[in-house]
Amino acid sequence: MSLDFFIEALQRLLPGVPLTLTLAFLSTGIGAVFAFALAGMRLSGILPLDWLARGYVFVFRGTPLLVQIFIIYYGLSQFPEVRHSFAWPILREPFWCAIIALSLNTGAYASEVVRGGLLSVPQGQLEAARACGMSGLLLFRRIVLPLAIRQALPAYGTELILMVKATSLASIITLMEITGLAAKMISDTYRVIEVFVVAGAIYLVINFVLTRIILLAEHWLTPHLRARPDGVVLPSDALIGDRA
Amino acid sequence: MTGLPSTGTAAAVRLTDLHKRFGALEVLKGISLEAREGEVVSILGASGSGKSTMLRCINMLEVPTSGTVTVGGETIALVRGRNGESRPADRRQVDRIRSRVGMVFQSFNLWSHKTVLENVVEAPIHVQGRPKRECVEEALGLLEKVGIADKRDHYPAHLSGGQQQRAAIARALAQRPALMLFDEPTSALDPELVGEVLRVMRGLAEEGRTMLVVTHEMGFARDVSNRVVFLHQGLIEAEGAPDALFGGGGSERFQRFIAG
Amino acid sequence: MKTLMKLAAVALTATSLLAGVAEAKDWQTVKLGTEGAFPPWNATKADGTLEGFEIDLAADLCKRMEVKCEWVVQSWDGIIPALQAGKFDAIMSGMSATAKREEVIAFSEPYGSTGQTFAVLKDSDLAKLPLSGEVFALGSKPEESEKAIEEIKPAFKGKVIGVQSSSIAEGFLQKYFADVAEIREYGKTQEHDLDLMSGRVDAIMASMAYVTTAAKENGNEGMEPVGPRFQGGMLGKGSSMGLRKEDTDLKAMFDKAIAAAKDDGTIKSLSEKWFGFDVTVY
Repeated sequence: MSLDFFIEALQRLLPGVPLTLTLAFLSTGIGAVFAFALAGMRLSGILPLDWLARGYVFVFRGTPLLVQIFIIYYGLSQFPEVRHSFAWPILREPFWCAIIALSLNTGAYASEVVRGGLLSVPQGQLEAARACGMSGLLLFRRIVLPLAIRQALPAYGTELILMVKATSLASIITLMEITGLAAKMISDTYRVIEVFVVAGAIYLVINFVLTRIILLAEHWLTPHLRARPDGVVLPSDALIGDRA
Repeated sequence: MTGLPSTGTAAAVRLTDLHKRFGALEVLKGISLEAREGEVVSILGASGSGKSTMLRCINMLEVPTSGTVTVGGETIALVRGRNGESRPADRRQVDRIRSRVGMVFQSFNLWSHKTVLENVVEAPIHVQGRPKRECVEEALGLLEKVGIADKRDHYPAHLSGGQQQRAAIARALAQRPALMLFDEPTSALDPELVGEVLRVMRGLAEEGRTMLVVTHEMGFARDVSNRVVFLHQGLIEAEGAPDALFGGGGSERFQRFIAG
Repeated sequence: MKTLMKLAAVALTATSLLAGVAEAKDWQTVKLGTEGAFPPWNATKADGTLEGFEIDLAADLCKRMEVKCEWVVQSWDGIIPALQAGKFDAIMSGMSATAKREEVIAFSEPYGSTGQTFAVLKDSDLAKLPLSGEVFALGSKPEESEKAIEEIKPAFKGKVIGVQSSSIAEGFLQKYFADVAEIREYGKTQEHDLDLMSGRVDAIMASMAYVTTAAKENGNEGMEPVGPRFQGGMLGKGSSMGLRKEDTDLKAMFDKAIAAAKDDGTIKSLSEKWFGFDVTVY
């Protein structure tokens, strides 16, 4: 293993980083919309919606992402109806097929994270909001969502990390992200270990940075879970302070 | 109505033949009660007597099975849904009435992701749509009044129970409510923290605010309220001026109740 | 102490015996690696057994070499690393000897070459590509070949050409067509067929053998080979056995057997059976 080869591998694999990140972030973003919609359906109390969402989550969590990507890319294009439909300009493109597959997949997983977050909102705080006249969107925006997000953030951070790794499957539909470039470089050089070590290291660095950003976001969003600003420890001091 | 209103004469809240049923269990069996403006009514009763449910019916946190609730002269319209449960006919009417009624809960229920000050200004700014600057100034005044102005930038989790409940009272007051509901405000507090909350409530009573207080604090009921209502198994069993009731005028069961 | 000495002596003998075996491997069994997914060179039948030109030819070669041959199926991506790792002793999988591959492994003499060609859908505007059926040898006749490339190139302007990643056809397309067309790389040839059929790519490039077989397959109706065939030069000498560099004895055995199969017409007859045309490398 020579240093020169590692540098060459880095030079060949790094151009895949923007595509990897675009796939991960875009699909996690779109997936979040699905996740909220699905979680809303689960919690709606309307039985057909609840079961529809349950079925969706069951299917997309129960089948491999690889299979989903294949079905969406190669499967759908088998049907002339699809090829002649309005959706073909999008389904024609490997990039959008990957985005669709990744989004649908993460939507299923994240819907459970979001549902857990929504369920974790304390009943008492909801009641206090209703009691002062909040309802509907205002209640959701001001109270439910901020509390649910804070609860769901650590799990959602994990989901984002998983998504970065899941993008490696996009290489099977001709997308030259990090793993696609690595596979190609291996075919050219037959140096499996070195190339995959470099590819793995790139993912590691990306996920390390993401982990730090997520931790930072958590820290920033949850001052109420940290020590008191004056640095005094609870709860004994509260009692003493009140006696004084 | 045998109460002696201290100030004013208009009815701040009126409950008429209120029934509330949870499945097979009937918690309220026909309650009629009126509180006039400026009146402080203490509601006593053993646990399970229906006193909290009655209070929660006033701002529709519980929807009565039958009967009417009138707040500030406005009767809340109820309809019976397809499943037989009654529900408010107009959500906006309920929101409007709720914004004029302040409520203080047993477990404080401050919003944990907001600081004390943010908790207090939330409803005035976002529900009532009042100018931010005015709301903040008023909120600071209220925090001063309940004695936790120095805690305004703290989060609820960083406060003692007594401080949290005082913040919750400030939050309710910030709504400029015509009526204040207290649902066992001191029951979740350590004994040494009860006094500071009761002091604040006594101050509010002295200002002439209309207050309905579900409580176990006999001292508060006797010394501060204009009228005491004693509930037993979903019905008002005794009602009257504290002096009269505590002086032996209540029912035998009430006498046993206050004797502990 | 005595026992210990004995043990040491036994161990020493055993080690030297093992070393002796490794030095003079007498090749009673040869393991052959194939993709099993590159008809008509090699393919996997529905029951999981292998068939194809190479399967038949290997049976003939192994008989001539008086060795027992066993097949190992290995995906194309990892076929060279698997040879190096000792999973099998020779690659026989329609692999051409290229300079880049020769840096890492050795190759026998070629046993077949069909050339590389384009395939499109019958109703596409590329179906009328000129020079159809003609063969151009990049190695021996470079000027003629380059002229042919220049002649067909304008037709590919703005088109998408699908090709198996890291194949010799890909190298050819990257060199001569990347400036006018988008080259889209696939892990497996079947995948670019699917995308040709769905219209995601306008043309594919693969070996003539592959294209003629693929065009006959169910679901590939309308696919047809067009334009000239290219071979030699950067497209390699033709399909050869891939071998570990140190196994020079095995290479000599295969070279001899291939030469004999070529001389007595075995390769010709087998290729006509599987390809419908002669793939002998003359």
